Amino acid sequence: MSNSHRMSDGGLVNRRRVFNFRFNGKAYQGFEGDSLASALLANGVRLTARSFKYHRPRGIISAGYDELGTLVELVNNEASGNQPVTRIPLREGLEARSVNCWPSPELDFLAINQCFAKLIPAAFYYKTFKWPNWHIFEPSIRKAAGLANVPDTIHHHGHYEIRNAHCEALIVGAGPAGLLAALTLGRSGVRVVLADDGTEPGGSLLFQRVSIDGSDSKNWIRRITAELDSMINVTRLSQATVWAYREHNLLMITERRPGNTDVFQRSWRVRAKQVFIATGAIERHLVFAHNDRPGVLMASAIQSYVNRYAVRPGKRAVLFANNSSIYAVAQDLIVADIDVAAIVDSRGHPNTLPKGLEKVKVYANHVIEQCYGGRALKGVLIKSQDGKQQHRLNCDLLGVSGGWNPTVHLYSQSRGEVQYDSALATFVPGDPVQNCQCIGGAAGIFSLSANFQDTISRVSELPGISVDCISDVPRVSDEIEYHIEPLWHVDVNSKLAARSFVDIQNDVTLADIHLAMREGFDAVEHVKRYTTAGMGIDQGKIGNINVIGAIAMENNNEIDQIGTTTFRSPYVPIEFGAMVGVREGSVYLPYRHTPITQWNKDNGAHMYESGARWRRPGFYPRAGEAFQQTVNRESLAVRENVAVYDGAPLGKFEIKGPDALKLIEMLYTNNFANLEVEMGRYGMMLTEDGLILDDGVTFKLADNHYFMSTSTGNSDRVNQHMEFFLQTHRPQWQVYLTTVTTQWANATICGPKARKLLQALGTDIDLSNEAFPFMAFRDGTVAGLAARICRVSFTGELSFEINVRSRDALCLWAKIIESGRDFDLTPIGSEANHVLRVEKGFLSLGHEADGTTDPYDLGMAWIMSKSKPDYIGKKSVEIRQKNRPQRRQLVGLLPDDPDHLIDENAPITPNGNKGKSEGLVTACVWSVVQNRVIALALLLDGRNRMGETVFIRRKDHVVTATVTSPCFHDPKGQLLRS
Amino acid sequence: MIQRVSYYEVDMGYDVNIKRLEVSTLIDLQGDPAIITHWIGNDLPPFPERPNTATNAKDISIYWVGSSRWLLRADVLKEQELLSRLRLAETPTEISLVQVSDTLQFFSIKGPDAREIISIASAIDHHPSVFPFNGASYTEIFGMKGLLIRKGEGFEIGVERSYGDMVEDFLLRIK
Repeated sequence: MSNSHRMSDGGLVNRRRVFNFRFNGKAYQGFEGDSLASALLANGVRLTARSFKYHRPRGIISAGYDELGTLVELVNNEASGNQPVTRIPLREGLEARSVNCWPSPELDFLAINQCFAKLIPAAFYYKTFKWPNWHIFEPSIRKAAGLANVPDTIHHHGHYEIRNAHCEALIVGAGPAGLLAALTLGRSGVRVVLADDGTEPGGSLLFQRVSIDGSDSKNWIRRITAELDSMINVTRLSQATVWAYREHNLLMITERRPGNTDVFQRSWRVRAKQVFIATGAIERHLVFAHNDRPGVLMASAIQSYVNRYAVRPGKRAVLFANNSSIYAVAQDLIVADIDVAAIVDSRGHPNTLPKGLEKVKVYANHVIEQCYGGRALKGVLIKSQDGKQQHRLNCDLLGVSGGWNPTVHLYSQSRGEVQYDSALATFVPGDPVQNCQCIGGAAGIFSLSANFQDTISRVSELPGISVDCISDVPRVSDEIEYHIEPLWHVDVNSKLAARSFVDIQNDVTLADIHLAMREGFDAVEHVKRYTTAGMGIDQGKIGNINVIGAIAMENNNEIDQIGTTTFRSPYVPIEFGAMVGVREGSVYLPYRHTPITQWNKDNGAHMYESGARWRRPGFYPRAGEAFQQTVNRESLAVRENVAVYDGAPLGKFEIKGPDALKLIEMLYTNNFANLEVEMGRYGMMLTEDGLILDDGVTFKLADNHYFMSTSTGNSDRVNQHMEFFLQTHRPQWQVYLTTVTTQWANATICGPKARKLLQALGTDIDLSNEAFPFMAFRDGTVAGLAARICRVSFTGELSFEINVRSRDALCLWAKIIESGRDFDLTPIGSEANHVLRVEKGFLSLGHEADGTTDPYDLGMAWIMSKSKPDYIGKKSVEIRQKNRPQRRQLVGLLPDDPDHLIDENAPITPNGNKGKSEGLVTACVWSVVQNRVIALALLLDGRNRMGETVFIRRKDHVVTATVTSPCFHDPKGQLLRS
Repeated sequence: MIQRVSYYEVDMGYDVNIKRLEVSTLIDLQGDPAIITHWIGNDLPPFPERPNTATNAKDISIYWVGSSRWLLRADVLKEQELLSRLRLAETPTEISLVQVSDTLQFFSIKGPDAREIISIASAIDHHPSVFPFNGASYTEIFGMKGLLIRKGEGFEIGVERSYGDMVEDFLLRIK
C-alpha cells in the first residue's frame, strides 16, 4: 500500500530521504518535501476527516493554507490542534490524528447526525435551546461541537519568541510577483523583508508547468532566491505566515520553523514603510450536491499534488469549472497518466481545446448536479444547463474550479476597500488606505506575463529605485487566457440544496443560506452570523464569494450590491504562544524589586504585589505562627517597641526651578508657600473633578527645590499628572521634575524606641524632638552612609524614614537588623502597616480614597485652603459643596461581635435588607490597641450618625456595628510627635 | 561606599554575551544648555546636536533624552569627583542637575547576535541608518521604559532599577 499513488519520477520531493509517520495510529511512509496531505494521498488515504456539524466523511480538498476539509491534531512533541493537513511538512516520526470524530473517520459514532440533518439546520440551536435555559444544553453541545482538543501539556522543544523589525518594504508572499519585487527592491539597496507561508518559495510556480526565460520556472526560482539570500538588506522568511495587518503598517508574521533550535516558533512585528501584498489568488469551490465527498478536490490542488509531489490523487478524473484555468490542469493530468474522463464547463463558449486535450470529452454549457459515493467519490451526475440532458460518469477524482479570488484578506485588514470586477467575477483591491499595494494574483492579474510586467512597473514607481536595478521582464511560455462566467451555485432542488455545501468547513449549505434569507437575515453580515458561513478558521477563503453570489441570486440583485464581510485576523490559525512570546511564567506580568527583596525572601517573608508592580513583604511568619498571630505580633512591635519596614517603593520626585513652588501650590489643596526649608507638609492632590488623586509629604530642600513623596501605587500617575499639567496648561513655567524613586531606597524605623535605635546606628544628626521635630527633613549620615531622613509617620508612632542610595540600602538594612538585636527589633510587612493605619484612621488609596471621595468626605476639610486662589480640582469641589449633597463620609465601625472580621467592600444597607446600599466597609482589621475588630467605612451622611447601628449585608448573614469616630488610637497625635 | 553589583554572564542560543553592569554615575541635566555648559565647564563632552544621540569624551557620555534634557553618564569611580565639581545643590535656578545614578540598571549586550536580542527586547528600529553608532534613546524595553545605547559592537540597555531582576529574567528566557 505504501506510496501506491506515487509516480515513479517527477515532483519536488526527495525520494532518497524516506520519512516514517503515523496517521490515526497507522504507519505510513513519505518523502522529504512532502506535506502530510501529499503523503497521505500518496498512500491512498482519502477519508481523512469528519465534518464539523453533520460528521460527513471528508477528505483533503486543497493543497495550501486554504484547506477546509481536513484539520488534524498533532500529538507528542508538537502537540497542537486544528492544523490544516496541507500545511504540515512531513518529517520523521510525525504523528497526527483526525479531529472531530470518534473513534476514527471510518467509524464515527456522531455520523448519526447525518440522519437528523433536516432537524438541525442553521441556527437550530438558537431556536431550540432557549427553554428553560441555554446554559443547561451548552456543555453537551460544546462537547459535541468543536474541533481538536487543546493539548494538556506542551512537550515541544524550545520556546516562543517575538521579534520586532522595521523595513522599507515588506513583501508578503514569495510567488512570482513577490520574488520579482524583492529582487528589484533588494538590488536597489532597499531594506526588504520577504515572508512566505510555504516551505519553499515559488508560490503558484511550484505547481504549474511553465517556463521562464526559456527554462523550467524552478530554475528561475532558484536563481532569484540565491541572489536574494546573498543580499544583506533582504531578510527572507519561509514557513512564515503574515496573519494580521494593523494600523500604521504594522504586520504580524509567525515563522513556524525558525532556524534557531531553541526557538519553537517566532513571531515578527514588522513595521514597514511600504507593503506589497503578493499573496496570489485562491481558487474557489463550486456549489452542487455532495460537493464535499472525499475525492472532490480543487483543480489547482490536483495540479499541485501531481506536479509538485508526484502524487496521483485518483485514477479517473472529471474536471468541472466555470473558467478557462481548468484546461491547464487537464493537460497536466494527462501528462501524469491520469484518465481525464470529461471536462464539464458551465460556460456557453468554452476555450478552443489546447494541445494534448483533443481526445478529452468536453461538456460545454453543462454542470455537475451531484456526486455519488459515501466515504469516497464514485461518480458524478452531469446535466446540461437547460436540464434536458443528464449523464452519469464514474470517476474517483473530481477537480473543481469556481474561478479565482485575489487573496485580499490582508488588504482588507488594512482597511482597504475591495470592489467587484465583473470581468473576473470576483472582488479586487480598490484604493489602499495605508501604504500598501497588491501585486500579481492578489491584484487580480492572473496571467503570469502580465503579472511580471505589472510588478516591475509598480515597484519601479517607488522613490529611490535605481533604473539600473530594475529587472528585465521575465519571458514566459504560452499561457491559456483567463476567462470566466460566474456560476454561484448549480440549480438544484431543495433536497439537494441541503447537501450542497457553500462553506465546507462550517457545514453551511445552500439551503441554510436560503433559510436565513427567508427569516429576514438577508444582509451578507446577517447571513454570516445566522449560518456561520465564512467564520472560524476558514475566514471565507474559499466559499465566501459563493455565499455572496447565492444571496445575490436569491434577491435578484447584482453581486456588487451585496458587499462583503470583514476579513479578520488571524488569517490562519496562530498558537497563543506565538502571540505571547517569552512573556509567560514569572514575566507574564511585570514585577519590581527593592534592594531588600532578596533579604526579605531569605528571611521567610510572605511576598506579594502591593501596587505599581512592587513585590513587598506582606508579613514575616515565624514557625508555628498563624497569619493573624504574625500580624498582631508585628503590629504590637510598632505600638510598644520598635520595628522596621522596607519603604523603598514610595514614589519620590525632585522638583526644581523658579516656578517649582507654583506647581506645588497648584497640585496640593493646602498651602505650601509658607513652608520653611528642611520642613515638610502633608498634602492632598485632586483630579480635575475634585476627587482625591494622591496624598503625600513634600519637603522643602531649598528655595526652588523640593522633594516630594507620593503613595507607592500612584507614583507613576502623579508623575503623569504633573507632566501633563506642565506641558499642556503651564508650558511657560520653568519647572524641572526628576523621578528619584529608586535613587533613594528607604528603611523606616518606627515605634517608641525608634529614636534610640537610630542613635545606636550612629548618626551625625541631632535626633532630639526639639532639633528634629515631626515633619522635618535632615541630610546627614546614618551608620556611615549618606542619608536623607524624614520624620513622618504612617503608623501613628514615632518614626524615621531613612533614605539612602539604593546601592547602600542592603548595607543599611543589615546594620539596622544588627543594631536592632539589642532592641528586639521586628521587621514588619504591609499587613501590619495596614492594621496600624486603620487604627489611626489614616486614608489609604484604593480603600477610603477609592476615586469617588474628596477630602470633605474623609473629614479633612482642614486641608482645603480657603485662601489659595486656585489649585487643581478646586472649582469642582466648590460646586459639589455648594449643592450640599448627602455623601458617603468616613466613619469608624465597631462590630457588635468584637471578634467578627468583615470583608472589605461589604455593603451597608438599611436594616441589612437587599436594596440600595448606603455605604461600604473600606477596611477591617483586628486592632492590637483596642483588642477587638475595628473597621473603617464610607457611610451616607456618616458624621451625623455617630452611635447609630448599621447593618452590613453578607451573603448568608447580617453584621451589626456601631458607628464611631474613624480614629481608634492616639487621636491627638501625640505619639508621632513625641 | 561603593558596593559592586554582581553580574552574570550566560551562554545563550544566540551568539551574544550579556552582562549585568555595575552602577554608573548618572546626572539628570535639565534647562538651558548654555547655562549648563557654563556651570559644568568645558571638560565634559559637548551636548549632542541631534536628538537620541550621545557624545563622549574622557570616559564621560552625554545622552540626549528629551527636549532640554540630557543624561550625563560616567564610571561610578568618577562619581565623587563629578559630584564635587558639579555642586548639584548650588546650581543656578534656571537649570537642574540631579543625581540619579541608582535609578537605572544597565545591561551590556555584545556579540554577533546582539541585534537579535534587541529586536526581541525593543520595538525600536536599531538599523544603523536610523539608530546611528552614537545612538542613545529612551524606548520600550520588554514593555517598560528603558534607555537603549549603541556601544561598540553591541548595545547597552538601562532600565528602571526596580525592574532589573525582571529584565534579567527576560534575558535568561531568550537564551
